[in-house]
Amino acid sequence: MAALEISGMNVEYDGVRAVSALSLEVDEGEIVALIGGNGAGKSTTLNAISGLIRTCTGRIRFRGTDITAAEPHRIVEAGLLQVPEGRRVFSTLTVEENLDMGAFARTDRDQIAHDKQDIFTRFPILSQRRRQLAGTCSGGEQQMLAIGRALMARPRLLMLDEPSLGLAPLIVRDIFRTIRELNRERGMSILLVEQNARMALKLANRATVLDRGRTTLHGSSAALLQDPAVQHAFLGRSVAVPA
Amino acid sequence: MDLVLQQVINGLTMGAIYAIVGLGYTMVYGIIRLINFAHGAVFMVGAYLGLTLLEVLGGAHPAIGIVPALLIALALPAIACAGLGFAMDALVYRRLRAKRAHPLIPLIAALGISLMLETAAMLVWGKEFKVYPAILPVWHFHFAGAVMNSAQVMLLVICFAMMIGLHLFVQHTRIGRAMRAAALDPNAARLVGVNVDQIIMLTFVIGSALAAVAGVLVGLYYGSVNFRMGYVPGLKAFTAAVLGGVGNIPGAMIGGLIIGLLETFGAAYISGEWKDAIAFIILITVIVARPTGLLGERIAERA
Amino acid sequence: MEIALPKQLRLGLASSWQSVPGIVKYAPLAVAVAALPVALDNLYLRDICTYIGLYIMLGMGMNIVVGYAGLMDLGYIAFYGIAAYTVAALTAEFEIAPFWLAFPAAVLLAAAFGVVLGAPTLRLRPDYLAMVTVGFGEIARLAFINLDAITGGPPGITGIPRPDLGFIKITTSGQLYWVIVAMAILITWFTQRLGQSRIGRGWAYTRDDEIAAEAIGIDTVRMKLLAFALGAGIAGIAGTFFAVKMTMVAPESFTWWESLIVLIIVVLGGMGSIPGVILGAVVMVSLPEVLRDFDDYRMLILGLSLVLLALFRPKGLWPAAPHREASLAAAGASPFAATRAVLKGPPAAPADSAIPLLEVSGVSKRFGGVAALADVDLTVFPGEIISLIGPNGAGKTTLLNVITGVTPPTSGRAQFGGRRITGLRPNRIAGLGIARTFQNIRLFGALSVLENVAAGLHCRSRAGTLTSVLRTVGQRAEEGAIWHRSLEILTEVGLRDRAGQMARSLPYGAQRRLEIARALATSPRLLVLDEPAAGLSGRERTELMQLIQRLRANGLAVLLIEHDMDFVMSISDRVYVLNYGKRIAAGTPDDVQNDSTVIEAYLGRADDEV
Repeated sequence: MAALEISGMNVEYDGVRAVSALSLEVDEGEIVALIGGNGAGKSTTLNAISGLIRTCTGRIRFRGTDITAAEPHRIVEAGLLQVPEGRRVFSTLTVEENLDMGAFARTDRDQIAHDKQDIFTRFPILSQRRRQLAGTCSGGEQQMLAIGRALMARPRLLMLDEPSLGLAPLIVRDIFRTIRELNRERGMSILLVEQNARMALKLANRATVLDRGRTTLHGSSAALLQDPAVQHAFLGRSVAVPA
Repeated sequence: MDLVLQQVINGLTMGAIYAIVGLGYTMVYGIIRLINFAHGAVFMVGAYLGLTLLEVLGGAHPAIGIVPALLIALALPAIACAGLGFAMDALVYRRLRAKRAHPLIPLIAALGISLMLETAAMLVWGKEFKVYPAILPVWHFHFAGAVMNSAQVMLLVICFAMMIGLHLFVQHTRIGRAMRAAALDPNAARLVGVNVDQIIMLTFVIGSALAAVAGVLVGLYYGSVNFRMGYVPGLKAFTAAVLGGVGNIPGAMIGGLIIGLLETFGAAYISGEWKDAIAFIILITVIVARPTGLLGERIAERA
Repeated sequence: MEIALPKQLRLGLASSWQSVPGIVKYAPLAVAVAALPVALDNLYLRDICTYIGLYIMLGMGMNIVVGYAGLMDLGYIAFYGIAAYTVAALTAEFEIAPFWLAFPAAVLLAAAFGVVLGAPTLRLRPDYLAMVTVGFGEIARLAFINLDAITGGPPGITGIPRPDLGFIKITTSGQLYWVIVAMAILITWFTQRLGQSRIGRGWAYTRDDEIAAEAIGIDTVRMKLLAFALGAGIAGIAGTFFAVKMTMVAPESFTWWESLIVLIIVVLGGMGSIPGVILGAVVMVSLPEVLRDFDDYRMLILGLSLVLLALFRPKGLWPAAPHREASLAAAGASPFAATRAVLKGPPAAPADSAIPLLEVSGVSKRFGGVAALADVDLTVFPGEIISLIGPNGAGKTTLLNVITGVTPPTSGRAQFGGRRITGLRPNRIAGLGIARTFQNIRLFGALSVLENVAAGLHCRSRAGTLTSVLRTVGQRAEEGAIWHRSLEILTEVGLRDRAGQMARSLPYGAQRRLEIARALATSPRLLVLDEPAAGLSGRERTELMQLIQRLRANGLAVLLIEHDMDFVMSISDRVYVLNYGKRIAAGTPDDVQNDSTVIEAYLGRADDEV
């Protein structure tokens, strides 16, 4: 069954039609990638799904419920979480407080403490820095914190907006490994927005390519990796991407 | 030496008031970038409500002890003004936020609300200065050559208690954390499930309640109130917020105390007539020369 | 039988009416209205009209500051008071100057204080500026009370003599009344003329989008200071006549409530609107008289009106008519089709095309601990089209901001035409010949298409306050040239038929073209475009490509950031690639497309394992 279903979504932003007629599905337990260059409309898509942008038409269903017009905090309560672009950790709150904020919508005290411990186990560096202000952590640490924060809400579906942005390749590899683990161990459905097309395609089951707000290609990531049109979309040139 | 101590005590007394009222400005600005010009008027309304309650309780019900009377005179105005703050946001400011109006427009609305509150107070309670019932026992505390009266003691105790209380609330509770998060990054806060509109509402409610309590305390301390009493202290409280770094809660507290002290010492040793100008000079200097204030973020300049 | 005027004749009459100076049209009306109380021999009414006259003056001055320049001044009455006290001190307290000296002294002093208040506060957000001005107003009031050696303290100064100019003595209230009426008409005329001139437009651009205004060469600092000075000076004129009419001044006439009243006049009437301010003054003065029994409720109603106004009708009761129609008419009717070089151009370029036009060397920029740019070099030769590409967050826009003066670099420098430009303000750099567009279009949305283009000509024209108000021959020729050239440019980019439309209402692609047209109006030698193709349809992209190529053929160099690789590769002479703030590749489009580091940067490394 589809965890997330988007049909015919149009988003207006700042007077421009940023996304046109987008249709997308993420099944339970899948990793779907949304790739494309700058200005393609990827972040706008995620923000519209999360309810931050209200000027959108079409239909968005999450686990069977229509969330098109829902308020952002309700969408979070339903289990649809976004790790935003640029991490956006709360800089003058400590690492631990950031994680606590992640559980804001939850009320089950002991489980929250238990989950927090899990996060510290998964990301030991966060445990080391738990009383440090989040703004003083490195980019990679902040990314892990942002993911940890989202995990604290026990998401059913996790959306990540360009997790590789501004991070060194080794760190990016770690982050992507974590995403894969989350998907494998917990069966978490994932919608991944990325500019780093190769890594995204290697990680995901399926992918959609977005160009200027429109879907230009979609299919299994294996197929897309071989499709010269993918490289063309990014570099304006038709050469197959070596696998 | 004892004179200095006396000045310090007096300075801290007014400073505590500026701090409490300044908290309202700083919390609101920190989260929605609005200077709530009507905040000083809320302070004034609180003072008047306290006055009426004390007259009623003192006159009609002398059987009620002083302490319960005081508690009622502090609590009810706080609740009423909390409602006022709620109304300001719900009816006016929130609508303007939704319209994404030019920053001058909410300022004009705030001026309008301020005008309405002041005139309403004048119509209800009259133009003259009204005397606060002298219900506090006339005690004087002498130490180290300085004197404090009971109103002063009560004011300092309650104000510092409120400051500590707010600080603890913001630092250690779930909602307090949510307020800090929403002030830092409203969208990121939404993405963790915070209902930012409600948090904003809460900010107005808390700020207004605090201002009301401060108003009653000032009424008890000075012994009289007037419908224009909110304007100048309101400006000074705003200065406190700016001095501390607008958006920074401990900053507003420290800023208020500093201004109270500077004002009192300035009046004693430089000139009594220019006392009010001290705060305004601080305001202009800080905004122009160091918009960050002592502890806060750069917000005063255009992007 | 009804005779309908033929259309030609009607249009002719209409435009003749347009071209009659406003003062000729409306001054007789004003004089007639002012004559009523005299004719009716009603002193009470005359007194009201005197106050209306004073408040009209104050309103006009405040209108320049708040309405035209968009600067919130809540301490405005301080200037009124400063002038009034100056006249009082000079003519009554110390008796050291006659009126004809005291008057200009008072006005100049007020204007000087306007500059003193304005200079340190220019960069402030409107609400912070408002608070600073409140503080200033309060300090002024305290000064009036406490500097009793000069001001006479709380009781003030009395016995101010009526103006005695030797050959003219204005002794009676009746004579003074007519002087005030004349001043009110004069100041209204002055403000109106100024609002419609190059200066008025400069304020409108500054108010609408300061960053965009700076980017096309407008000195926003100067515009704001001018507004403060003029506004304060006009308050000074009003203050002088207030002092002379009352024959006394006291601190209680100059409280914050007075500033608020003037603000309400301007806001209620409609910011920037001349008839609105007049209406506001009439309402504010007559309301307490009319509502005499309800005097206490007056402020309550006013407060409520402000709130309702802010919520539902922020433009005021009689909003300023958009300039659009007027400017379009002016453009069409202008008999001065300037073929002469009335407008200035940028400094001359070196003729040698082997010398780089723009040279960026070793530019680094750090924000806190993050290096947004690290040691970047870049050159643009005359007549080249250079593209700057790179993944999200690579530093491309930061580099543009360094080049155009929006951000100073942490180290390194940029030179344009052999001249160092690092450290210069954006408007200076625009004046030297670099024009830019923005990633999120920054048009002056509330102004017309024509006015947007004309904004680019602001830095190439020179009419000042006096020439604008007097409408000298030179000024009119310049205005004609501005409109004519603007229409020319609009034709070049294909927007001629939309000249009168509001910029904000244009479809997205047209807005992009308008922004480019505005940049072109500054006669640049280098055009810097930040993602010009974003949001455009396929056909619009092709048109944009053609436009850029046409511009290059006319000798313009172009530096652009883009993500559309088809676009970049087909149009560029050379391409620079940034990643993580560093330059990782430079060369022809082919070189860059085949460069493995570039491919990696965009798509990810081949050996990336997850």
